[in-house]
Formats: sequence, C-alpha cells, structure tokens
Amino acid sequence: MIKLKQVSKVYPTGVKALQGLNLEVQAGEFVFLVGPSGAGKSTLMKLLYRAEEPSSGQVLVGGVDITRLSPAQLPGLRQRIGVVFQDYKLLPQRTVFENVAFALKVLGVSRVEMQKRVRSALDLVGLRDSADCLPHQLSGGQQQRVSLARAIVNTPPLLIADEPTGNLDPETSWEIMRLLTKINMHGTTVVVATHNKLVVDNMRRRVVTIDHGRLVLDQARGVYSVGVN
Amino acid sequence: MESIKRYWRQIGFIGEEALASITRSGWMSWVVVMTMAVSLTILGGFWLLSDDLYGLARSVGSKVEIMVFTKDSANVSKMANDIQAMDGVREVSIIPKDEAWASLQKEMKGRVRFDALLENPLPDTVRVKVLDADDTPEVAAAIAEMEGVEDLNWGQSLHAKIQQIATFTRLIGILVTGLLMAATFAVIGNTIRLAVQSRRKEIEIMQMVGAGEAFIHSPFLLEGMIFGVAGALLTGGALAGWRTFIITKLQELFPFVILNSSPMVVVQMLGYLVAIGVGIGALASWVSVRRHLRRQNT
Repeated sequence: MIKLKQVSKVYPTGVKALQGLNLEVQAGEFVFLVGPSGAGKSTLMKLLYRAEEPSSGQVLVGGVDITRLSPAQLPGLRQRIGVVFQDYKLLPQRTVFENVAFALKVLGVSRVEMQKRVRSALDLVGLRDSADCLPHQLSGGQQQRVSLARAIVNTPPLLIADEPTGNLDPETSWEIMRLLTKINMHGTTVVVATHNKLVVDNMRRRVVTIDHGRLVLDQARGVYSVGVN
Repeated sequence: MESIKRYWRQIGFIGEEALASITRSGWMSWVVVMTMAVSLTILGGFWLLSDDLYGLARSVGSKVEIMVFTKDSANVSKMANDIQAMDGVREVSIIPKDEAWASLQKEMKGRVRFDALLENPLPDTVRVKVLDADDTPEVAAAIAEMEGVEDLNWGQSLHAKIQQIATFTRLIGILVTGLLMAATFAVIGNTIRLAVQSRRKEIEIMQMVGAGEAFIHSPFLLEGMIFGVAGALLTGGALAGWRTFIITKLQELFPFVILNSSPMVVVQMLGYLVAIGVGIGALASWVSVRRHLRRQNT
C-alpha cells in the first residue's frame, strides 16, 4: 500500500525533516508512527497525501509514485486517502451531517447515496443522534469522531491520522483508537502518528519509531520506545 | 449518463456554496456590493460625461461647412456632382453667383454703394456638408485638387480647435476610466481576498477531500460574479439621474446643438457596467483564491 524509498525532505529553512528513510506498509496493516516532536512524523504523513513533496526519493501509494502526479491527478489521490488531524478541522457553521457530507458533495454524489453513506459513517462512529448538532455543541472526542466519519465516508483504502488523540483525555483517546481498529478491520490500511505511550503500549501493533528524520526501530508488535533505548 | 448527473450535482453544489457564502458573510457581502456599486457609479458617471462631451464636440464640428469658390470657367453642376460622389460627403448645394450677389447686396444695403460695380464680382459657390467632422480636412483637400476650384474655406482654425477638444476629452476619458477600473479591481480584489481568508478552512478541507483546483475556484468565482451583477444594477438608478443632469446642463450651455438624450444610452452603459462588474468580480476572486492556494502550497 505504501512504499517509501530513500526519502529525504529538507525544508527551505534548511531543516532536515527526513533523511534517507525507507518504509513499507502492506494493505490492511495498522501502523503506529512514534518519535519525539520534530522527529519527522508529520512530514512523513504529509508526504503520503502530498501536502509536501520529498526533496529526493520515491513515495509510492497504491503502487503509484505520487511525487510524479500532476496537479490534475492530485484530487484522485486525495479521494483515496482519508485524513484526520489533531485539531479536527471541522467547519464550525455546518452541522455534523453537513461536515461529513461535504466530502461527498465535492465529488457530486447523489442525495440519496449521500444520505445513506453519511448515516452509516455516523453510525460507525456512534454519532447518529448528533447529526444536526453544530461542532461547538460537541465534546472534543465527539468532534474527532465527526472528523473520522468524514475521513471514511468515501471508503478510502488508506486512512492517515496525525496525532488524533493529541487533544483528548485518556479515556476518549481509547474510544478513538477503538474506532480506528474497527475501521482497520473493515480492510482500511491505517497509519497513526502519535505521542500516546499508553495507547501504543496496550495495542500491541506494528510500531515504527522515527528520530531525527531516520527510521530507528520497526517492531511487529511493539511498544513506545522513545527515550527508552 | 451517471457522469453527466454527477457533473450537474457538482454545479449545484457550487451554486449552493456561493449563495450560502453570500448569506453567511452578511455585512461583508453588503460591503462588497456597495463598494462595487460606488466604484461602478463613479466609473460609469465619468464615462457618460466624457462620452457626452465628446459627442458635443463632434456635433459642433459637424456644423462646419466647406465653401468652394469656383473659377468663372468652371462647370459648377458637374463639380457639384463630382463632390457629391466623394466619400464622406453628406450634402452638396450650389449657390449661384447671382443669388449670392443678391443676398450680399441685401445684407449690405445702405452700407456699401454697389452702383459703382458694373459686374457681379462673386463666383459661383458650392456648399459642402460632410458626414463626419473628422473627415473635413481630407474632403477639403480632395476638393482643392479639383479642376475649376478657385479657393475654399472650411473654418480650418475652428475645426482644429474642436477636434483638439474632442480628442482631449476622449483621451482623458479613457485614461480616467482605465484608472477607475484599476482602482475598482483593487478594492473588489481586496474585499474578496478577505472573504477568501475567512473561508480558508473550507478551502483546506476541499483540498483535503480531493476537490480539484477549478472546483475550489468556482464558488468564489460565482460569488464574485453575483457581486458584480448586484453592484452594477444598483448603479443603474444613480446613473440615469446623473445622465439627465449632464444632458440638461450641456443643452443649456449649447442650445443650438442637438444632443442624444435617449435613455437607451444609460441602458447600454448599464449593460457595459454589468459586464465590467461581472468581469472584475470574477477576475478578482480568481486572483485572490489562486494567490491563496499558491501561498499555501509553498
């Protein structure tokens, strides 16, 4: 599903975010990306949906070298990737339903189809009854679940979550992780960048550790080992 | 079939987004429309004024006639026919020398003693009116070349002066209109940029969920065009009043000139303003969104 070959990223400021990084993720995997702040996790995530371009190396998503996509091909890539952020990125003046439907409206999905898919996405994240609420009427965990529903409503084969529990308390963080696991069980490849040691240690999933822009550890059923070794 | 339907639904979405944005922005939309209206009123008002001044100068110019004095030997009626056949000539009439003589004697009665003159000293004269005052010099020059022409008089200095005024008015008109358009563009562009700023989250999410750049531009483009139409229509009334004022004033100053006071002039101007408003609105939106996207991508 994902293949990074000798990927380096140097920002115009001179910061070396990634250095010669190699990584492979199979379809259907669940991967944690851990590492200290500034290690290059977010940069790596951004490369996957091409919010950033690498300075050198190849980024393959679904077998396609996305560094070679033209601007016209970019929407096609993004439609196949769901993205979740730490700050939810919901539209404050729109209801929960409208926020989730937004992703489908952009694609010109029919009203009936849209209703059906938004409902089932909201069902999955357990927010069916909050469809008519505005984001500010919801808790942080609920808002993150809306953002999750929006990311999966178009049933993408790949879901990327950048610090999805960064603003949430431990209990709510667990809820979100359970949801991500559920989505993964439906066949979606999930990549989660996180600082949350508690979650990583208890989930026993593949853990990729990055430090100073390099891959330092790749464990099949790993734990959060930053600062440990 | 499905792809066509999809296309229409996307267009529907763009329309929905544009309208929702206009109503949601509330006072901001009003600011844009009013700015647009004020700018377009100034633009259109000046345009009308310079147009009328130009028209005035020209219609004064077209009163200029060419008087052709013939040689005694000339075949006057043939000459008149030849002149009539020339390009740009509207009307030709012959003033026979006897007639001219009689009218001169009548005019000068009591002041000059004509008894001393045995013979009529005046030549036959051909009076020429041109279609377009601009052509007067060329027509005059062509006539001067003709056989049998003794001399001609077409108010050279008056004509030159009027042409100068007309050209000057036109130039100033074009210049000021251009400047006002640029100013309108800048003001509208800035206002719409604020609107784009206030919706950067929507733009970001659109990009994230895989909307193409053209698709992201569209609601803003449509919004800008709607602002353009609304602004231009608001200027209609103001311009109609302004135009009546200009025409009345000019007519008072130059009662002998017939000016085109038809309301169609304002209607036509309004058509132009709607086109300019829509153009500026769309262009300003496009530039603002594009700049926003570029900045984001770098």
